[in-house]
Amino acid sequence: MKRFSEFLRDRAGNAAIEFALIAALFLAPLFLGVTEISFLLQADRRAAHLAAVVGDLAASGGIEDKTDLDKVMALVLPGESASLQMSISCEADDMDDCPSGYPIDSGTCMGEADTMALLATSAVEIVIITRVCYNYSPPIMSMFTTGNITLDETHYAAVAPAPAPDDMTMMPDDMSGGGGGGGG
Amino acid sequence: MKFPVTAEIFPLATAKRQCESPLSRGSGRARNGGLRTDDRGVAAINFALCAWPFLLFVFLIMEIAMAFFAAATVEHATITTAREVRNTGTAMTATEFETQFKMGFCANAPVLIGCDDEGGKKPAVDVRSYANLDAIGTEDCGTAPGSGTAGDFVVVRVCYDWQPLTPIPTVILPDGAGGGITLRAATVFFNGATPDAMPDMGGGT
Repeated sequence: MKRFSEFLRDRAGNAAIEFALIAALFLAPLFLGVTEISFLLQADRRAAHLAAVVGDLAASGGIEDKTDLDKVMALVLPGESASLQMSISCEADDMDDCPSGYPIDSGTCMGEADTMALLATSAVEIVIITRVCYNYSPPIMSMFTTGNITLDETHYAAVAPAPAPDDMTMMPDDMSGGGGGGGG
Repeated sequence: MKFPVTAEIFPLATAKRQCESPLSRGSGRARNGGLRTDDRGVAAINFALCAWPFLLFVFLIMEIAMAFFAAATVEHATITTAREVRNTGTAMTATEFETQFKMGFCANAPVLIGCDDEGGKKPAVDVRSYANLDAIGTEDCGTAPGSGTAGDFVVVRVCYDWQPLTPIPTVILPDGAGGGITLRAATVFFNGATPDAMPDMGGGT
């Protein structure tokens, strides 16, 4: 039976011990980090897509109430309704042009934007602002600690004036675009 | 004893060398003790012990990266193709719409995603149209496509059965049919095929 001091001096098996250290300290965190960031980027991309899709549909007049909004949210980000908030608001030269039910709000996630510059251009009469607040729970990090990441995406859809009856080439939902936002 | 500074600071760079260090200090070729004191080939044994978990991690990271890249490709192709086919100027039947979507999808997913029938790698495309967004259900990729009727809201769901090179990633990622990972993407758009079908934007009703 070896004594403990002999065990400390024994260099046999140091390769296995060092690999265990390397795997635990470097490889496993590398793998977990790669997976976590991939999931996060996927969630962020989907949140941005959700904001764009809802802005697009709202600019086409498709979203009339919160039920419509919830359906689209459940389609693009399925199973995340508990951690997802969203709002659609409308700014216009003449606020009577905005759809009657607007703003549509699901919680404390109202889009705030200075749309005066957009509306000052003659090509834009209505701006639809959609904002997604996604309280994303990171699947691996939440095993070790608490705390979520808020993914915040805002999308602006500019609606052009109604085209003249003989000029139907410019359709309102062709004009939607722009947008962006930042992760948190 | 020389302190292994480089191994402490650059463990990965020196891992192979460390793995090849002797397990025990014997006398080389065995004389009396037979196999117990023969320490030739210890580098190979050490490498065999160290290599497989190391390679497991390396391939796992590569597999995860490829699966997420494929997922991003499927989502991008779905969204881009939906924008491309939305205002085609004509109302199409369900079959025409689905065929055109699949062609566009395959053109927009040039790498990693196979669009052939072989090996079940064909993406399952589910196109349904609704007169109102309220009617959108929670269907998965089914085999009952709707139509791309003008003036309807068109929901496109794409399911792609991603086959990883090894079965390792299915431990982490949601398991699909046939040992693969089902990559899902969905989008919805208004099919403004004919200008008359545009809904009135004005409110104040």
